[in-house]
Amino acid sequence: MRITINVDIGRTFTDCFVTIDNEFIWAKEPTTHHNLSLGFLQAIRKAAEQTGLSLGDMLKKTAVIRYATTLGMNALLERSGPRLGLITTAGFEDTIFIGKGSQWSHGLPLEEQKNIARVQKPEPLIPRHMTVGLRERIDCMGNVIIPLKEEEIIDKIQYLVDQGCEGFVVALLWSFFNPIHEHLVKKVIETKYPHYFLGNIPVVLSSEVRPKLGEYARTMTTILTAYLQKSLHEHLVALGDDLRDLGYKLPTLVVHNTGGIAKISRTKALDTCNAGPVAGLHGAHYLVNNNYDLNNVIVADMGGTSFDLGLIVNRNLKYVPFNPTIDRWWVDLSMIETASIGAGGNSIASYRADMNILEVGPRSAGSRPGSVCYDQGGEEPTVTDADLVLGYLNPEYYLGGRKKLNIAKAYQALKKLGWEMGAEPEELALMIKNVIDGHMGNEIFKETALRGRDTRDFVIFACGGAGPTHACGFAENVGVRQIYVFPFASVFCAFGSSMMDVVHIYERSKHIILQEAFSGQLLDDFHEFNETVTELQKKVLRDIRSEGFSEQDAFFVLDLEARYGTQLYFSRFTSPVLYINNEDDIKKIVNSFNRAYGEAYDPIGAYPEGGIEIETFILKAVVAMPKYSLKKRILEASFDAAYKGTRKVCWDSMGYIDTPVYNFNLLGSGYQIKGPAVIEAADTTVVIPQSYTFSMDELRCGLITKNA
Amino acid sequence: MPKINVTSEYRKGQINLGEVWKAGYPSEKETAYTPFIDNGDFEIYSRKLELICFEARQILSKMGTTQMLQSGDVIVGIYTAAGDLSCAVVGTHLHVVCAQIIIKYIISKYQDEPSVGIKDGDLFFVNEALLGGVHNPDILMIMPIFHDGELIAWTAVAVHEGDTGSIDPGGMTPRARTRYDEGLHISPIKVGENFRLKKDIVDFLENSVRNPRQMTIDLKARATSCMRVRKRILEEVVETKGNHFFIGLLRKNIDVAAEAARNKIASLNDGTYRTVIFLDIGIPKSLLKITVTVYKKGDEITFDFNGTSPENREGPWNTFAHGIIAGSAVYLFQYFLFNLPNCSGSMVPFKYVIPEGTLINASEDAAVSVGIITVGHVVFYGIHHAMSKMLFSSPYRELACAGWVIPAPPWLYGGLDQWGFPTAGLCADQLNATGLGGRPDMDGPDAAGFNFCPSGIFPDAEFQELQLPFLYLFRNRYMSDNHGFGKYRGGSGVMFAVSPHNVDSLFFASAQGGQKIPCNSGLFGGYATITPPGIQITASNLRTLLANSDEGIPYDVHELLGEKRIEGHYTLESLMRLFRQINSGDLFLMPSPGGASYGDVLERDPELVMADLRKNITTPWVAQNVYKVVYDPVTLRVDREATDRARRAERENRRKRGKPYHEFVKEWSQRKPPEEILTLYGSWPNP
Repeated sequence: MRITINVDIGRTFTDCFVTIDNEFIWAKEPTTHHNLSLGFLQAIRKAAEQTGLSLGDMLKKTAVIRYATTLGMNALLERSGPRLGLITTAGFEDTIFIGKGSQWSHGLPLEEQKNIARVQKPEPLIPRHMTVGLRERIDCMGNVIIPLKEEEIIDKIQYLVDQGCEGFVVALLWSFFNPIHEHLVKKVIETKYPHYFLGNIPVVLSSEVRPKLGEYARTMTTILTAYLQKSLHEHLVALGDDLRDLGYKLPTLVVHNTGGIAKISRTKALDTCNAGPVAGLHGAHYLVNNNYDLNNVIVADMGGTSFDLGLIVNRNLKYVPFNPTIDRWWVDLSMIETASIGAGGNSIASYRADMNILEVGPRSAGSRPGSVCYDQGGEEPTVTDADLVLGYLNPEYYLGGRKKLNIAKAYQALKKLGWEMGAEPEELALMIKNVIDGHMGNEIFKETALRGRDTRDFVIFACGGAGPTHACGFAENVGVRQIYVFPFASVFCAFGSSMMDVVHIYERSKHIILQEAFSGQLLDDFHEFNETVTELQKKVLRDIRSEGFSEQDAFFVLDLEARYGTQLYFSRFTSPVLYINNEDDIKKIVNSFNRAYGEAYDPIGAYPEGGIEIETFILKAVVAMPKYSLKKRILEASFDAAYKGTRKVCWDSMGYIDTPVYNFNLLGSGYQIKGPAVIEAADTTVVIPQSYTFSMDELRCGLITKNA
Repeated sequence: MPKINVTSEYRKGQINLGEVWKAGYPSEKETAYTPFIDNGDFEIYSRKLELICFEARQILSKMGTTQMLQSGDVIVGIYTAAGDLSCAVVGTHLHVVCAQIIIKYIISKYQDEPSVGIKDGDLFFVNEALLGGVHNPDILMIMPIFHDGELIAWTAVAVHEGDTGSIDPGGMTPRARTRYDEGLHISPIKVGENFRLKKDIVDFLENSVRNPRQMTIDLKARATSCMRVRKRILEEVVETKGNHFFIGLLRKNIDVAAEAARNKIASLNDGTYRTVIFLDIGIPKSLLKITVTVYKKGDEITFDFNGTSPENREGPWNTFAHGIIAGSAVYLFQYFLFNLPNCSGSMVPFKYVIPEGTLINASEDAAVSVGIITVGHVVFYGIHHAMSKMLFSSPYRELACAGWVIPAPPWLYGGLDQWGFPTAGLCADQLNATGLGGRPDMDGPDAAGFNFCPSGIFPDAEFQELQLPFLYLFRNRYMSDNHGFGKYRGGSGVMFAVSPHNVDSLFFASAQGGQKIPCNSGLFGGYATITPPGIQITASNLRTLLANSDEGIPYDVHELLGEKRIEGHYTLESLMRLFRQINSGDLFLMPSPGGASYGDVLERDPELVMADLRKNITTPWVAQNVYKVVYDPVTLRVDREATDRARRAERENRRKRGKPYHEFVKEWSQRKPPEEILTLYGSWPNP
């Protein structure tokens, strides 16, 4: 028996997905924000109950635990990190405070960026008086222009120590190119202030964390690494101890936002931010490459407060191409791209009189007080209230009947808002549903459009509690014709973790002119290129070996960031070769870049005559982990068994009509249900409008198809 | 649709701006289709149009190369078939408004002209300031959008280019005296047909400027952006909802915005609000006056610029009237109308009185390349200032803020880069780290961006040094006291020092006024921003100091000028600096000033003053002598009682210095600046 346990901690619930050979079960428990380990252990305890094993027995038989946690993010939001000191180049001390000027807009939705009169920069993670500048300078060629003197370092370090510094972040200009001065700073700190004097104060160098061009994102990435590491490390070590006490003796593997997993000792806190949605995306990636013949998928997860979104394009995951942001900070990370907007079941509807429009979200009623129908004190109508009044939700069967909904209160709240707008409650409910579906559709459009893709080439995997309820609505807005609802849709991210491999990524900037401008002369000295790849490969192999794997277990992918001429931004593409051995290899790289660029933008934009310059090397190594297979689970049941009767449900063009209702779990394989219909599962409700047909496949995935 | 010929009408002084820059009457189709768009669809699809523009702007930024892409001097707009602005993502609001004039010109001039025509797949290039551009470096690409052979919309994409082939590098030349010194003036010309760029035209444009590679890359970026907007509109809106829906949607955006803007204006108090600003220009040394009077009555606002100095031929700081109108949108959409659509409808309730023959309604052959960023800046500040006075007593008091900084000086460069290629342009650095003005309840953010284009990016120093042959001695560091002081201070700016690096020399210039008189007065008792000079050090020993890691290396302008430990020839002058050669090892300094402030300095929370001391944003001298805070210089602990006493004493001193208003006016009216600086002013005191 091979068991894997996969846990994803979300804002509201901690999801656990357990595989036992080729079977799976799942459990959901409330997230315990005060101590995440409690919710973690409770979730796997609930899962163990379903197996008939005790928690200890299950853990003893477990081959691997994969864990996606938001703890890193929590420490950031609470500003509970250590008191850090920043050591940078003199004359550049305010880099992180200036924040590229536009820092006030980073991480904010477009709408919130418009009111210039109210914008504010975020509270910095390191106060200005904990920042010192060293008299030193390296130039763009890596030459030392101002040599760094040891006594200069000692003075500045002493100042920071006197201020109570608990960790040093060192980020000097051009250190990614020539780290000699950063190394000297570290050496001086370790020599002059040894452990017995300062204790275990970390020294984090930007040239080691993120050796890439651009002082702001490099410095912020280094700061966040130092700021979050301690709390995450303590949590993971404590959790590891708890699991060991309960009988699990193997390493816990942590899910990274890079799309892989790694041991705790090889995990930086920044790697874990947003890991849950990335895991979900990875699950979709597995499904399209193993169970479903699909190229392009939109993974759409609609929960209580947010709508999370990720894309599979040409069966691949994509990295964030443009200013990856964590909280309010631009960082430099190879994160798998996901997006999120404030649109969920608890999004509030309100009327904007000056424009005579209905606004839905991003304000949310949260889980407390929640929607009006929760009967917990909420007064403003929400999407869930609208869904209830429209008949989509069953007031007696919400969360499988564990929560009763008050439809009368929801109706009254809609009536009150409708009075302001001159609309009947039912009419308003339909409008709320259409607007929120439109917003989610627009978000899908934005994310696909910004990749240069057409939404109509995609299918949707509808996830989250509210995803299947609204999927046809937002799909309609973007012309998607097929929607998949998996039985484990509500724990899709935990499911995704179960399919993840060990991944290590290393990057560094290295400016290499691949093709000269105008002359078209190709690079004739391959040494620098190959040396850079070799250097990255050594680092990756060190990690892989430390995790007990060998070089033969891994396969490598080299991505490059390059540009034409003097473009302001670099475009990422996959190199067809790992090393350059001859001119043909260079031509292959050039052709790959031109092709990728043309696909992303337009062939009219390609300009190889202006020269092609590489700026960044990104080497990824993947060690495949054993996977279980989703097997066919054919249910032969009579149609009547699933039929629950009818209720009045409102449909766009037809108004309220008697609509059949079915039980998801009792629907036999191969059954087809033509819309309009409602299909209820314990943790979600699937809404099928008139122009769609639902069918249950052999993996017990519901496929919703737009009628021809 | 009014038939217009902007050039000839402009040259005759007969252009009717009122009919060109704002939305015309709806067409029959628009009138017929608009009522069928319900509120839900309207919100969804008007936002979709915005996202289409957003995507195109991202493409432009990712593909382009001009420095001003980082500054956000960029737009993507969608216009009705008649050329009225319906939706935009900016950048700067300047060009979205101006593009309407150009589109209407193209329609009127070329639609029925057999040798030109308007066809599917056309791409028009234009940079003619007379035709609705602001100045020559702002290059627009405009594309008609057809569906089933019917012209249903236009898209315009613009970004400021690095060079125009003017007499000096960078396209914004302080030496220009007429338009003929300012390089390319291209009226709308087809740079592309059948969805392809025309090689002969691209070659011509490359051949006309100092940095051909940049011109071509940016042309391709604009073309790709235009074509993406077209593709998205057709596939995501027209094919989904129908041609009629799209036409109605564009018009409804305009109509809804017009009504919302009128309602918003109607909620303000009627009245007259005025701001007068004096601007000193360094070459020749002279004083100019800009008067902004805002009349608010009912649901309309009129901006009246009577009392502004006359056009002059001593420099390029004139503007055309449409630039001023478009520029008012910079303020309106950032502040008063921030939550309304960026479209011509929002501007329907505004009227403009811009006297002919003034600096801001110049004649056809005037030099204007620097006007928008000098005089134009001042005008926009005046609008902002007067509007804030109006908004103080309104439901929108939180919008009554002191203004962004003026002047944000353009810094121009030219020469060969460290890779051996010709380079020329306008640097993004100094524009994008200026401070916002103080606000009714909080300070302006420090180094927040560029007032024309708030979303611009202050580029990384490393990126700039990779891109250009620069070595910054200091740059990412706030300059102490470089902002207005007040109850809520203006955001701080920076000042940086750069030296040509890995080349023998470069050519630098800057173009700005306002070095003698602060022209961004604070609001409600707040101080104006300081007036930074242009500084350079030549024939210096800087290289030796650097190589020796000398303790005398300065890291901000106070150290640089205070101790003068760099040996060399120091020059302090106006920021209106003509091109000069700066050698490797010389230093050229540029300021990125802070914002003006809000409220009385004596009302500032002393703890905020201490916080600024910790951040080196305020100096001890200002803390003690301006804010009158008494504190322990080591611990920065405030002595509340002593501070209260110091502030009471200062208030008493103010009372002693004060005079009755009529006495002040009587005395003030007797004073007059020296005649030699009034040569460009017009008649004193009222031009």
